[in-house]
Amino acid sequence: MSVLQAAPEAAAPAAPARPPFWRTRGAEVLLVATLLIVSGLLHAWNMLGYPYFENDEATYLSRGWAFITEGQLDVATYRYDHAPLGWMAIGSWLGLTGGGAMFGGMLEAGRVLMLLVHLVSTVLVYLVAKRLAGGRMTAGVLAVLVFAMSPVGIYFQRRVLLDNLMVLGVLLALLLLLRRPLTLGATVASGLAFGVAVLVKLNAIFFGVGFAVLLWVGAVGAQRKHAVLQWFASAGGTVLLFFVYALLNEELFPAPVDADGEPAHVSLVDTFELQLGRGDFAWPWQPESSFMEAVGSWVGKDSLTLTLGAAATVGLLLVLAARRFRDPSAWAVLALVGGYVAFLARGGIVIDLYVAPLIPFLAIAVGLFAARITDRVPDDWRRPAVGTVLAAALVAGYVLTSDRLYLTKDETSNQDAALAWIEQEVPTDALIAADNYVYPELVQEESYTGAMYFFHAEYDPELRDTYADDWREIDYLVLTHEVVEQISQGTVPRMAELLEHSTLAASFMDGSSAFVDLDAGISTNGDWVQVWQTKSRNQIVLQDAWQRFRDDWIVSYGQVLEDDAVSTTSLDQVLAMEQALAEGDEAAFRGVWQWTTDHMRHREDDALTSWQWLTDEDGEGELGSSDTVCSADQRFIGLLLEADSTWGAPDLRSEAARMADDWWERCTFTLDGLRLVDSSADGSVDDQLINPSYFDPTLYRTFATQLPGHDWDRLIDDGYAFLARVLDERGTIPNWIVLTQEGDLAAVGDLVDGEGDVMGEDTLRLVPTLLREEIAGEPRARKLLDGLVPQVVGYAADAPGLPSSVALALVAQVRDIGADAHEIYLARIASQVDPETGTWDGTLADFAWTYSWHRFQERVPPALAVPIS
Amino acid sequence: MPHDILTLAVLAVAVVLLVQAVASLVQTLYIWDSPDRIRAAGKPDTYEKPQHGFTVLLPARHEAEVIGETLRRLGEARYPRRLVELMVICTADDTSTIQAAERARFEHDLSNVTVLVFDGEPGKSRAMNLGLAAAKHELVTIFDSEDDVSPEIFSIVDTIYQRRDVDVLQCGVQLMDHDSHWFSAHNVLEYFFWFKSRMHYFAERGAVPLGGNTVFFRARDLRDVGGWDEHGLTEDADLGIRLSIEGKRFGVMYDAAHVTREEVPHSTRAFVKQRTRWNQGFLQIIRKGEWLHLPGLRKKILVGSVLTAPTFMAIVIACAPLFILIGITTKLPVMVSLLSFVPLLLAAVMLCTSVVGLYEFGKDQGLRIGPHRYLLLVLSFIPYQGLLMVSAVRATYRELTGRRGWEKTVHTGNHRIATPAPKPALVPVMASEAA
Repeated sequence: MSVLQAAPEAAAPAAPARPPFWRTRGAEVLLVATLLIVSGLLHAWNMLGYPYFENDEATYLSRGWAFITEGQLDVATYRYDHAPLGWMAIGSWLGLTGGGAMFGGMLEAGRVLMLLVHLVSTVLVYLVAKRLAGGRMTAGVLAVLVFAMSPVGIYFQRRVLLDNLMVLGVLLALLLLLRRPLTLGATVASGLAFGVAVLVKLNAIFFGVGFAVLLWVGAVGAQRKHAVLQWFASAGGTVLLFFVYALLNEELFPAPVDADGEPAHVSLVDTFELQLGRGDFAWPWQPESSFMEAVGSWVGKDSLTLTLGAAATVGLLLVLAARRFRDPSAWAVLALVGGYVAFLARGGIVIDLYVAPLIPFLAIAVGLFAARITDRVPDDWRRPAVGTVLAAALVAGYVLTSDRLYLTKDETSNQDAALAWIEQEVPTDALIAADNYVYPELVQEESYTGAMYFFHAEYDPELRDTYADDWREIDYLVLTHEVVEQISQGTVPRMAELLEHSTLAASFMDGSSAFVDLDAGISTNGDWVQVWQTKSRNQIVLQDAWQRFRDDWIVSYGQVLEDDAVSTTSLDQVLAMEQALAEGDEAAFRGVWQWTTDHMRHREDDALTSWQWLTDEDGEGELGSSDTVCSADQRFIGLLLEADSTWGAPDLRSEAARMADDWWERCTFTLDGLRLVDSSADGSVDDQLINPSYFDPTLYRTFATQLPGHDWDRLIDDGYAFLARVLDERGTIPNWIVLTQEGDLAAVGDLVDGEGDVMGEDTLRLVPTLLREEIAGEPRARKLLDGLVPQVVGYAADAPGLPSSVALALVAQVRDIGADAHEIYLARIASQVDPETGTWDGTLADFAWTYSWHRFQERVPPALAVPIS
Repeated sequence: MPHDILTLAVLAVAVVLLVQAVASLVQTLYIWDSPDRIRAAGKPDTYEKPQHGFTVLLPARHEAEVIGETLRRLGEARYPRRLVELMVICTADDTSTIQAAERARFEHDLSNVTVLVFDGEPGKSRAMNLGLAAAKHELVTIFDSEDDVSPEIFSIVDTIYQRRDVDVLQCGVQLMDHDSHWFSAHNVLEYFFWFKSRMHYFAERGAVPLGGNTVFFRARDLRDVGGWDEHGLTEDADLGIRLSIEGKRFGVMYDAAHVTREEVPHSTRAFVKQRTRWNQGFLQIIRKGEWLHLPGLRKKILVGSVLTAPTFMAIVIACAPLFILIGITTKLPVMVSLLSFVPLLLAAVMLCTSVVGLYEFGKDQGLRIGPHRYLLLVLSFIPYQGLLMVSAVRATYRELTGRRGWEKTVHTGNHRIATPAPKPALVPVMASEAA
């Protein structure tokens, strides 16, 4: 007897004629294999050269490696930013292929994995599209062509992104649910696959609506409710495990905050809140919304796929309407695409790569729509013919519209070169904050112990401990497109400070197509790398000091004016220009010089500067004195020359030359056989009033090479001789001294305000000059200091204050006076530093002294400099 | 390293629970896996010309009040009377039953009723073995006297025996009064899942602990294996296992309209006693060790797990507070804790499945089931597990202390032979409707 049957089968049709070859299973396998080869080639060719290795790729790879080697979910503290299954899979692949060994690096190994993922996904796209279309190969082929040839698809599918793995899971879940007849086993497997996909990347959840549709139409009768329950139970249960994991780690709910307002530990809820709050809300139709910006970017990369996908989606809507809404496949595809688009258009942040999971479903929409259209063609030779024509048109469309940069462009050589440079030049224990692309190689393949993903460096409390939560301790910043972007978005303030206070050590921008403007926070592509070296602490103090000086004390376009002060002096102006030059601030330098020229250089007989400008309460100003100060002018000349050397400014150099001629003429004199520096071009008529601290032999040496028209060497020799005589005769070097017409030294008495005839602040100004001369090997400076230093020490004891402290600290730094320079610095100078601003408070006069100490450190050989922390 | 040992213990229990829960879900949902299975599990759409003869064994003891009605209903079966032998079996001293049967035979003109009397110890298994020896037809089946049997059952069974290669056919038995006691919905669902789905799973794998009635055998097969075990408490399951060992082919038929309808035990107390007896019966079967002769490891594991499930679950439930204590006081590795969470999750899935099952039961039987019934089902889930645990613990205790007889209360207040009403189908126990 026969077996139990519900109903006898309909009479078997007459044995069909042998189908033509193109209708056989063999032909289909051949076709799919061909598509796979083409797709594989498109994706594989130049896949290590384009696109550039992105931060996130390395993040997932390094986490994967940490998982497979140490059982950790992250190289630093795991923050629940993504569910971890994605990099567990990536880690397994790395484990299988020996880390980076098999493919020449982890990044490369990751890209190979993505190629495999793409190939599997391609097969899945084919099968899903075909099944949705009721077995129509046309749907499968067209979907695969879109999926494989989409430039934006190639761009993101080559990248080691969680989205690609997630898509694989979603497609697999779809295929399982499309099994006919649907079994509960397939349903549960589909739910598990979907749950895994969600745990690879949480936004898979937005495809859920499509699955609900498929479940409802796939299961029939008594099976349906069980199928729905089991699918949601297996998918939901899988996802739930992630939350239970957090709960078990006591990291689900936010921790109480500590004294600093920071939570005691990471929590999933905190991280989710942070992620959900990313970006400002904007309606998706607003042009400034993140959604519209992203769409613009995608259309720029790949207009064809998006246009076709959108058209097919609308087309499916029409098909649905025409079929009185009885087309479950169309419903399902619309729900899949619609659900994800709704996520993109939710009003929050849309990152460029968010498009990646949409591509396969747009492709399937195109395939299904094409199948629905060609359903109307008679099912004989004409139908495959039309399908073939459509496929050919699609291929032609991609060939014609794509620039095919993905086959030719090299975006990774600069990244490789930067890595090679670091391995060559940077010690392995250096603290490096970096775009993560360097991490797998430097830390996990090489032995760099201090390399940190810049985001972790910013936020991970443990990593912050490694640099004592003081970005100044970080040695290098590996700057890339992504770092610039984050800095300009304000998410990594420490990194912004770091970049602000570093100097460019190496730049790799050959052939880069990016427009980069660091000041404006702009970078347009990631195919470049720069390595920035953090300045020394001293340089950082100087930089911040200049910032503070500029912000607080420079008004108008270049006038130095203290708060509530009325007087601007040429020495103030020159101090500003000196700092601007040292900090490379050409605009400020020129501004201050222009203001000085406009307001303080109106002397009839020479090009020198008047020393004082007075500003009243209303901001109206007038010249306070037309007299010059010779030390200011000599410094202006020196700065203008240096500015030309630095920035190439011949106008400033010729100005310097003109001033130098006048200065030599008006600010030096010959008396008693000595060529000496006057205190001012004005005032002295017979007897000469001299300020010994104006003597600057180091400066004159540079003049000797650059302004050869005058006898600068004599000025140096005579200056030394004169100071030696003063010290000899007076037993000290007073603030001021008079050289009479007869060649005698005389007291200044009432000629100057204050105590002119004793050692004082002016004398102290000579100390750094002489110390630098001594270090440079000048015996006359050493001799002078032999006499002067004990007096400086004594003076510092008698008249404590910033000027004497600075002088004492400098002396202690160069000579053995039984005191520790560092301790003096800490006790008497650093104590002035405001920890908030990193610079020092106080008046402009104090500023000049503190500045003098710090600038001195830059001017002596590094071995002699006092380290500060 | 007590901590490591603790971890290993938790891990081991979690893994076993996980396997158990997955297996249980697979069995429970077996029939819904595909539309084909759902279709194949029901009754045939058409009946063949009657061919097989049936001997219906009706073991009775002091059943004078109902035996007549039972015979009358069986007499209305739409099947040639010559092919059906209705055999009432009772002890010779039970004269009232004998008279009632004789009266029914004449009043309803039932020419095919025979009464078999015997001397000595009363006992259902003994009665059935005697009946088997006297059976004149090829197929033998058992009904209990209060059973509400479908009049088409013989046609259905005859057709299946003609069309399929089947030696033993278990037809559906279904408790109906889902709203009579606080526990009855769970009890009803146990029967529902057991006969509608799980039995198919066992039949497919050739290892079936059979139910107590509406089972059809070939008389020859029964004689070959020596009939029923007259000493066990669950002779039906025992027989199923022995037939499985012989490699007999099993069929299962569950059709909502043609199930044999029964009622849940009339009180919580009766439920516990009934369940205690089944559980103890299982333990006896385990002790007998015949199941170890099942061919192949898979069948041994399958039957072994069914027989041990009640005891095992009792131990687990009893240990639950201990595990909760461990969870609170000990920091276990997160992955171990995570794994031990999965069976809990599956228990929740099982409960949801029960809710769906209750809906389907109502739909199958045309019963309106109000929303509060579902709520009650969920709320009584854990108390019901407690009931199962108590029964399992009692059974284990009784078996260990050698109390192997019927509990006395079963006899008092109940006129039926040997067993309390209703005669159980074998329904194993777990933290759910399906073990």
